[in-house]
Amino acid sequence: MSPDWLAVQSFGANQRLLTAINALSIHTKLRLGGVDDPGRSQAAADGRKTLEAFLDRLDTALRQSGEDELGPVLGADPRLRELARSFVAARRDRGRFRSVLFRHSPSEMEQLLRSGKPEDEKLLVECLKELRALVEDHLHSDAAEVLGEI
Amino acid sequence: MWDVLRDNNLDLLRQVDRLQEDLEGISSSLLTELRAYYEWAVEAVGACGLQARQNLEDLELRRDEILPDILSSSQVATRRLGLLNRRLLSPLLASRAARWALPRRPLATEHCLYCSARSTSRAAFASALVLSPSPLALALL
Repeated sequence: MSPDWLAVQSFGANQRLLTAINALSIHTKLRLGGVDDPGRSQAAADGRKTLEAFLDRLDTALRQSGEDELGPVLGADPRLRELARSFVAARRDRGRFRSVLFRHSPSEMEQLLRSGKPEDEKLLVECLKELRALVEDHLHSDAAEVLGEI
Repeated sequence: MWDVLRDNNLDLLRQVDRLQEDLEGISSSLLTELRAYYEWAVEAVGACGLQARQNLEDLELRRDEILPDILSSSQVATRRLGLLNRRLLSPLLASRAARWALPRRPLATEHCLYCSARSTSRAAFASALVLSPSPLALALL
């Protein structure tokens, strides 16, 4: 696959991930605020599935390569490996990334996704916010390649 | 910020409407080989419209805690439409250009020029804000 189409594919995957994060974040915040949001229930449920699948892949990439080094992983998506590398770097930035996802692991966030308890939902909102920041930082290089510098 | 995002999403809807009109316009003269791609494109453009409408509904709620989510969602819809407009619709629109022996310039470019020309300054600012990197945009909140 050409680098150009790899960028398009990665761009699309990150856009879908952001869509999942945003739908779930809005739905969770509205419910925590006592606002019914039935029209987004399906999108939020789909978002949970998308995020679970992504966190599984991220967790695998981190474990296979060793979190501190992130050397080459045979068969791994190179863009996912770049994101995993950004994730490891973000973990060291405690001023900006301090949610459960970055203090612990992707699998801890997966547990929050499945919990449904209000106290966990608040932690989940923090995880979603920081994950979105990480993905948007990562997306910028693909966006520049795909859409041109804006 | 509420008004900026509202203007941006309304502008997105206008772009979606024009793209849908153009796609409808080439439907009858489309090469058979491009039919499946055409149907995918129609659905993808429609999805951008749905996202923009959802953003407008969310903006109506006027809840501060979801503003960063709506901003991100607006950026997603803007980038998605940008990808369609600048790159993915070209084969379809070029097929019409080839069939009717029109100039080779992709029609998608005309959209961009048209949209830019009719944008108000506030809408132009909104587009720039929504297309800018998130940390910068969020800093303006």
